[in-house]
Amino acid sequence: MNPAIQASNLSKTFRDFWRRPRVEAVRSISFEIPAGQVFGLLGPNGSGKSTTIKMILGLLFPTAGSLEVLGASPRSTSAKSRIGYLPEESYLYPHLTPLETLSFYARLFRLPSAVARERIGQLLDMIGLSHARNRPVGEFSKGMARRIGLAQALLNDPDLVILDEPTAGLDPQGTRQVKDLILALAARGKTVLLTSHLLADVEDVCRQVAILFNGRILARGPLDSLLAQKDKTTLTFPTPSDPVTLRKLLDAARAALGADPSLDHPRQALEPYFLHVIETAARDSAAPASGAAPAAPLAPFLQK
Amino acid sequence: MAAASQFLAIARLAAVEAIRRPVFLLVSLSVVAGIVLMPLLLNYTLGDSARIIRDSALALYFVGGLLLSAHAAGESFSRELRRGTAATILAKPVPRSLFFLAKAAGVGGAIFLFSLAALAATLLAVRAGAGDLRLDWTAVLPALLALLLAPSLAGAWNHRTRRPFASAAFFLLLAFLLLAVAAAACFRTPLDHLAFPANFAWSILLVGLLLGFCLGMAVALAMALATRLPVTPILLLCAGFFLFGLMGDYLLGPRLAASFAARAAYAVLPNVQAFWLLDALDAATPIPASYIALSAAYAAAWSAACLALGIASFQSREIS
Repeated sequence: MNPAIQASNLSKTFRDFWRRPRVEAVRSISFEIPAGQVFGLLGPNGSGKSTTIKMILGLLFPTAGSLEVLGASPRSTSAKSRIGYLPEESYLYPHLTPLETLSFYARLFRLPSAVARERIGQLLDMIGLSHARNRPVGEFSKGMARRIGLAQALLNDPDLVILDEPTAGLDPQGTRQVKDLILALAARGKTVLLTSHLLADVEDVCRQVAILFNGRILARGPLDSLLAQKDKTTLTFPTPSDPVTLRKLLDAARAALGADPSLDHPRQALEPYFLHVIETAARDSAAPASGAAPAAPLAPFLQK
Repeated sequence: MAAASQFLAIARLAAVEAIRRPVFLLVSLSVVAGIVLMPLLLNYTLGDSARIIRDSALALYFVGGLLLSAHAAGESFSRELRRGTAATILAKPVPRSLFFLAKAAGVGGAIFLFSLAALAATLLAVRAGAGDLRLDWTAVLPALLALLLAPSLAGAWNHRTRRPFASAAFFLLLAFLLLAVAAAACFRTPLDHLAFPANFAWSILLVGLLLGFCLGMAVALAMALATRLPVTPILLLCAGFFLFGLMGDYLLGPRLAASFAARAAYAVLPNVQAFWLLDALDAATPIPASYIALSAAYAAAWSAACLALGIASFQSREIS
């Protein structure tokens, strides 16, 4: 299968007014994202993540190297018609309503009006903003605007989804929903490229990552092999009711390994705990929400 | 068809966004108020007020249109490139040339609507002040009502629906001014024997049309500049270009035969004099259709050259 994105010795140097090199944002990076994978591009601020994404979208032009997106030039409209892009900031027209915003982008994707209408309805339900479909997006919170940004990126049911900081500004429910969405897209064979500062989010969804620093790729590969501590092993079992049993187990392990094993209760992550508390409270409360409604299932057209 | 749909979507949004900006309403209201109030201020103070009102109204329309063209192009294109909305659109299957031309069409559409409002106000003002020391209230009153009612009703609508005030006020102003022209046309002016037999000095519209061509050129120039420059330099450069264009005959005319540089500058500068035909109105000389067609062709060719330069510049423009 052809890779969704193939970059070879890709470089980008920003120049000043006199064409003198000002910043070397990306320095000869090479990577390949196989189709159907969730790939995370990680790195601190200024490491070259957004520059790389903008080159993939044809918004910035590489200074050197080659780049192919879905088998075509990043500037080709045929490739762009198969890409969904969520920018780092949700750049929206503040006076337009969600309905008008999504209708506008649907026309840019050249969707037939019946298809556009159906998808817009499903996406508004999915992002929990159906009740606010006629409010100007300028009145929205950052998280609500982010949801609109996500909906516009999915309108064309893209083969390649590029998400720049997709969970920035979202509440934990929205974050969980985005992560579920990414996994669902991957299950349908879509390629997802995402950048995030929130490493826990990346860890939840990405199979492969590349870590950028100062325009260079410092580490790259499957997440499992990058993170596994192969010199340590975790053994999980139900807590015994009798403390003597536990002591016997520890002694046996110490004798067999010749080292002191550590003992602890496994902790669940904060996210599922938080979601459980909120969902329980929401079930018990009848008051309507003024912001985004609780997460709805994935839009049907994204499940086909 | 699909490209046409994209073009229309972007152009329509560009026009609406231009009209929604408070500056657009502010300039439109100022121009219309300046034109409508002119008979009230001038009719009892100066002689030959009809001509002064007509010339000043058209000058106000042109200057206001020039300001709005440069500002709307800068806001609609240059600022969107910086703000990020353009990046979101250009990440979609939208060719850059289509995006640029659609934005230009949208800004041009907004300027066209401004021109309708300003010319409707001009027709009313010229009719109102056609006779010295007398006012035609059948023209003044509907114009004043339009000026007062539009922002008031738009404010009430905004209070009720929270939809944008500026665009509502502008569209109401335009609708009321056109209604005012229709209403005034129902009454025979008591002054018509002084100036024009058909209720309105319709010949003003021909000069307005020519000035509209010139504003189209301003939009094209401003759009080309907006591919690289922010709003303020666009305003300054447009003003400079058209000021020199207005003085082109005077400054460059005597040197044309001897100097290649003068001929080149004369060809590049927009020949605004060709569109400023108030002398023809003064002399009651009809403006031939062939002259209007030639002016339209000149404006179209000049604008096309600017837009082509703009597309070339935008193709190599990086969007960060």
